[in-house]
Amino acid sequence: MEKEDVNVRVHDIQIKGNKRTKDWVIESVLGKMKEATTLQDILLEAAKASVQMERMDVFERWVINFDVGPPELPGTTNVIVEVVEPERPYSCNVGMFSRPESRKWSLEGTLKWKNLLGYGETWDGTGCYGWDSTAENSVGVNFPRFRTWPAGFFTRVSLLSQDWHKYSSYKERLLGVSTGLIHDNNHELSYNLTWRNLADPSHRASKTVRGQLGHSLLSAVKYSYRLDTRDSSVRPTEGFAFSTSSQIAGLGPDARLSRFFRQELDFRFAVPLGVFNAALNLGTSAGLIVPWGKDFLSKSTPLSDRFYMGGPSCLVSELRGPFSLVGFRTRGVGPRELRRLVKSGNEEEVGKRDTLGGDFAINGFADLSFDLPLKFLKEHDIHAHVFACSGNILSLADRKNMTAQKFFSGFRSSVGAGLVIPTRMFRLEINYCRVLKYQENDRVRKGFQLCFSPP
Amino acid sequence: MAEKKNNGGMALRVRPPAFGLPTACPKCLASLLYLRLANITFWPEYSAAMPDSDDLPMVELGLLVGFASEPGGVEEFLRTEKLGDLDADLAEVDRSELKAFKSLLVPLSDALQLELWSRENESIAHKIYVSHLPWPINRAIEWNMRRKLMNRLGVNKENAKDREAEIYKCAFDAYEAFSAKKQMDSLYLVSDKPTSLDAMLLAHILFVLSVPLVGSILKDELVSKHPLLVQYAESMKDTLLKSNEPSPSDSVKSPPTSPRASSHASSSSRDKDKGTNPEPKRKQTPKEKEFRKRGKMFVMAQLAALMAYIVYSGLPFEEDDGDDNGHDDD
Repeated sequence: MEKEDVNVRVHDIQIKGNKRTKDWVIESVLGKMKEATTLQDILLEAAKASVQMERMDVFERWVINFDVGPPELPGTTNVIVEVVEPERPYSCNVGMFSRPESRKWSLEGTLKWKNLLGYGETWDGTGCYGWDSTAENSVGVNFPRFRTWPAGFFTRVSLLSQDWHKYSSYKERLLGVSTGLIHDNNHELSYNLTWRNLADPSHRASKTVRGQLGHSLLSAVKYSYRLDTRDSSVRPTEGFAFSTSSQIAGLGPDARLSRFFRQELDFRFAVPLGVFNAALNLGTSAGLIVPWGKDFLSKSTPLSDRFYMGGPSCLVSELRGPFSLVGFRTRGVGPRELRRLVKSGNEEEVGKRDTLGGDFAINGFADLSFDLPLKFLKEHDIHAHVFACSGNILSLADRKNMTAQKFFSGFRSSVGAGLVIPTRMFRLEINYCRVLKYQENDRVRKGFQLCFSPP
Repeated sequence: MAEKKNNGGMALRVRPPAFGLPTACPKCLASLLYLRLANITFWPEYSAAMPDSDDLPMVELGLLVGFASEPGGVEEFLRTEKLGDLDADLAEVDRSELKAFKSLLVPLSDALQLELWSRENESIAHKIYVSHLPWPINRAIEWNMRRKLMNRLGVNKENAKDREAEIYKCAFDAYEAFSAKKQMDSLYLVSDKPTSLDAMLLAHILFVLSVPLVGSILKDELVSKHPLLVQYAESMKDTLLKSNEPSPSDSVKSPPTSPRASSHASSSSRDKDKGTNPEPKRKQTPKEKEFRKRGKMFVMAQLAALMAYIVYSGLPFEEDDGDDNGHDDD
């Protein structure tokens, strides 16, 4: 068998042990096994099927056996797939989580039910309640393998409320349905229909934010492509990563839908330096949002979809668009506007501003990481890094008066150094930052910072 | 003329115009007429994304903002900031009388809301409050607003007729009182100068007379039994509804991708919005209906295609299970 192909064909596929799961769900996992003509191909398809069954995560255990085919058909084999479905297809998790970057705690619970309809799907309900009254509730279903499509299909209904009062004087409530048609390691295509309501219960919002309060409907298709060849997302020392995300909103004949086009680009590059396990990571991100439709040049983009820069973040690992700029507070960079003046109110509120976000954002960084000369630290991959980053964020309304000099002089920059503790769950950074350049009204955060990022 | 702050003038944010009125929302119309009677210079900004908000109307002057939902509303804001006060020169006796008559405006407002949000006038309420929002959220908001109003008025299926009769009786009593007050020889209700009471009552009467509510009992009552009030409103109509605002560019702000400079619209567009002839707006209604219909069909077609694919694409697999014909015979 190792030296030459052994001609064998699949005569029949038998499924055993599935009380709930539909036969075709398991058969579709077997892929092209029925078309295989050699034993080597059949075994290869069986290995691929094993991986797919693992991904589906709806069986307790499974085994693929091969039996001799009918005697009147020599050179054939019967494939017997035996599965064991779990007695309890549901699971529940509840936990309390802290988010040091925003100094908040939240109570989160997840309920999952697998294979309810027998299509190998997973249903889940998630509830998250923050101590600042932020809440997110969502229900979703995920088909890991949708018919003969190689990728999964998922749909999710969610009710989310976010409190941006501290930064932009509004609270946001979102009720939406999102459907993903393509979802694999590289590509993701999804459709999102969301009812948004922005409100300002405190009556402090600036004029621009007041003008955006109220109801709107988002109907958008989003395509994302991601390629990551780096050796690690927690401590990359070699390789590159590229990510692009395009979103077009306003799909539908109704001209009253929110209409805009949004694009994000991320690029990361890691170069090993050979000594002390050092590596140089370089990266840049950019984003643009523009309205479209009749008289689009005179329209403004929705506050919720603009770019916001600032807040604790891990420059190296995250590929989430141009929002990272170390040394600045959350939503602390970019166009800002004075809030409503309340004469009888708290004096501390006088002069405060709302962050309005930007329509164009760009940032870049350089990060040099290296091992520390302590055995204990090396064993746990705890290392040090020094970094520098810079970024700028603009509104489309400023385009008429914008020149190259103004654009480049508007860049903010910061430098810092710190300790990185990578774990399997997340990357933890303890950094000291110094802001070298900032603009008027930026909210700077100097000194020590803590940040987490998922792998 | 009221004193103005030196930072760009005053803006009044109201719901969009319709039916020949500068704003078709009764509450917003009262504030607009108040500013006009007080000869305060302002320009209207239209906000159509907040149909269910109590904050409208709101007055903006630089960083100072007065919301309708705050104690005293727009009136109190103008008085506190010394921007204008129609009731400033009233004698103590007249002031007391003003307060008493203001309480009669509540049943008038309740009766008007009851008519506006009745099933027969669904399209009118839709046009005034939610027509600038996309389907289906406009329908959901409209339904919720009607439900909240009926709860506030205490109207339900069991007591609808009795409760409506009660509300209308209170409204008719208010009409009687205002008619009796107007019979006295004075240009305005309380004194020889307009007061906040005039602004509110005129807003109510002009709304009832201008908006084509189906089966309007209030209109029938006004026209048949209170000609003095109708005459009072008609005599003020041209003066009050003719705009003297400085800035022309008022475009409706519905979703966030609406025009940035909402305070500077063209006068031609405003004149079109305020047009005294309602027929051009009625010609647009089929177009709006077509947009809504196309929107509904688009979403339903998407859902139907998705469901059909899910359901019907499964048949070949089920047939393959029964046929068991996955092999070729040699």
